[in-house]
Amino acid sequence: MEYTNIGAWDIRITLDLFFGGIGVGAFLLSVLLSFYIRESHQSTIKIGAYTAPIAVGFGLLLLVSKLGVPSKFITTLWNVNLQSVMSIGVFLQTGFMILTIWYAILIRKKFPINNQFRLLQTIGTFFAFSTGLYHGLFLSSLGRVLWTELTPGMFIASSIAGGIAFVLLLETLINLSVKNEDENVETKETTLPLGLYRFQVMIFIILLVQLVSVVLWQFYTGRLELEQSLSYVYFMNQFGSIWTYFVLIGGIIIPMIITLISIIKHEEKMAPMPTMITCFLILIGSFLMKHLLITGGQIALPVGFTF
Amino acid sequence: MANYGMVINLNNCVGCAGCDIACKTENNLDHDVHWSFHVTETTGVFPNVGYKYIPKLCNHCENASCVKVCPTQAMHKDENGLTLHDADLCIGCRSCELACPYDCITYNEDVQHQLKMDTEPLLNGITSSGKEIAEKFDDVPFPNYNPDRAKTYDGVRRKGIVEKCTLCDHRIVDGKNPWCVESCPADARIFGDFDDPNSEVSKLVAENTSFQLLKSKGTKPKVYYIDEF
Repeated sequence: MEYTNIGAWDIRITLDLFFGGIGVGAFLLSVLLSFYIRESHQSTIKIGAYTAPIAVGFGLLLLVSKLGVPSKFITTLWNVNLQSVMSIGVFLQTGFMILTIWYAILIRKKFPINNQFRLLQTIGTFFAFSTGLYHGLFLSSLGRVLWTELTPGMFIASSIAGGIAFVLLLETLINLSVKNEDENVETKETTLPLGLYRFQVMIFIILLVQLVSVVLWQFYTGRLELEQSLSYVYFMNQFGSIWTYFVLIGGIIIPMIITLISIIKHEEKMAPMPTMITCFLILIGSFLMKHLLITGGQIALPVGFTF
Repeated sequence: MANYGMVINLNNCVGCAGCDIACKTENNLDHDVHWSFHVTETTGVFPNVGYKYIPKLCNHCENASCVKVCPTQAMHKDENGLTLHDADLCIGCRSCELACPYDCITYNEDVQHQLKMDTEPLLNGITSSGKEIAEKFDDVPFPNYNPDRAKTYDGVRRKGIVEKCTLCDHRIVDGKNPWCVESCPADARIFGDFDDPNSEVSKLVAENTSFQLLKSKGTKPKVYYIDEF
C-alpha cells in the first residue's frame, strides 16, 4: 500500500500555530499574575505582556508568507465565510493581536489598575482562549483523519504550557544575566487557589491536561474506523519514536516529574537550572507535537481508500 | 435552476483515459494538473484477482467540504449546484485541497504552461521557442490554447492559487455537455440535471445499482458510478 503526503502545508504553518500558542500562553500568564499577584511578579507580567504580541505577530507573518497570494490576506477581513473556522479565526487572531499590543503598551506605560484595564484583561482572556482553541479547531474542521475533535484540547493545553515555559525561560535567563534572582520570592499577597501562584503547580496542572488529551487522542484515533486506525498506524510508524521520546516523555512526563518533585518539596520557587530544563523540554515537546500532527495529518491514504 | 451532476457507467467504460486528455485540452491544463483523472487498483491473489478502473473528477458535492472551509468564499456553490472556484477571491491557503476527500483540487505552485510560453528554444538555431510558436497562432498564450475556457474562469490559471473541475460550466451555459462527456468514445459519461426526474441521469440512478465515492464522508457527491467490471 502506498501512502503519500499532500504536503500542502510546510513548517511555516507549524511555526504560526507554535508562536501563536506561545502568545496565548504568555498573555494568559501575564493577565493571571497581574490580576492576583502583581507586586511580586512584575517582571514576569511584563515579559508575558511583551512576548504575546511579538509571538503572535511573528506567527501571523509566517502564515501570511505561506499563502499563495500573501497580498490578499487582508481580503479575509471582508470576504467572510461564517462556515469556515479559518475565516472566523482570522478575526479572533487579529483581535487578539490588537488587544495584546494595547495591553503591552498599558503595562509599559503606567501599569494601571482601573476598570478599563480590567475590561481589557477580561476581553483579552476571552480572545486568548478563543485563539488557542481556534488553532486546533481549524485543523479538526478540515476533516482529515488524524485531526480529530480532540485536537483543539491538545493544542490549547500545549499552547498555554508553551507560553508559560517561554516566559519563565526568558525570565530565568534575564535574571541569571543580571544576577537578580530574588525578585519573585515574595508570594504572601496571593489569593490564587490550589497554590497556583507557584509556577511549578501551574505547569504541572496544564501538563496533566495535555497528557490526558494526548493519551485520549492516541487511544481513540487508534481504535476508530479502519481509515483512522490505518492512518494512526502509519503515523506511528513514521513518527512514533519522536512522538514518544520528545512529545510524550520529554515534553510532558519529565517536566511533570520535575515540577512534581518541586511541589512535594514545598519549594516556593524552582531553582534556575530545573526551571530552564523544564521550560526547554516543554517548548521542544510543544513544537514537535504540533509539527508532527500537522505533517502527519496531511498523509493521504492508499488509493483503495478513495473509492 | 438545475442540480447538475454526472453518471459514469463503469460497464461501458473501457479505461482509455480519453476523458482525462479531453479535459486537459478543453481547460488548458498544464502537464501536471488533472481535473479529470483515474485511479486503478488490483486486488486479490491469482487466480481470483480483480481490477478496478475508476475515472475521477470533482464530485460537485451538495455538502462540499471545500466550500465550507474556504475562508474567502472563493469556493462556492452556484445556482446550478456546481462547485466553482473564484480565482479573484482565492488567497492560496490550500485549506480546500486538504479538506477535499477526493483529491480533486490542485495547487499551482508555479506559473502554468511555462514550457509552452518559454522564450528560449529547446535547441538554438534548430527549434522555435514556445513563445514564437504561440505568436503564430493569433497571439494566444500557447498553441493549443482554448479561448472558450476564459468565458467563465481564467483561461490559464494563476500562480499561487488552486484550480479544479468546473464541469465545463463555459459549455453548460451554451446548453452543451462537458467536454469529457462529449469525448468519451464509449458513452460511459452522462451529464444531466438530478432535479429533473425525466433526465437521463435521474433515470439511470433510479434504475441501476449505483455508488458514490466516499459516501460516508457526508459530502453528498453528485457523481454516481454504475456497476463495476
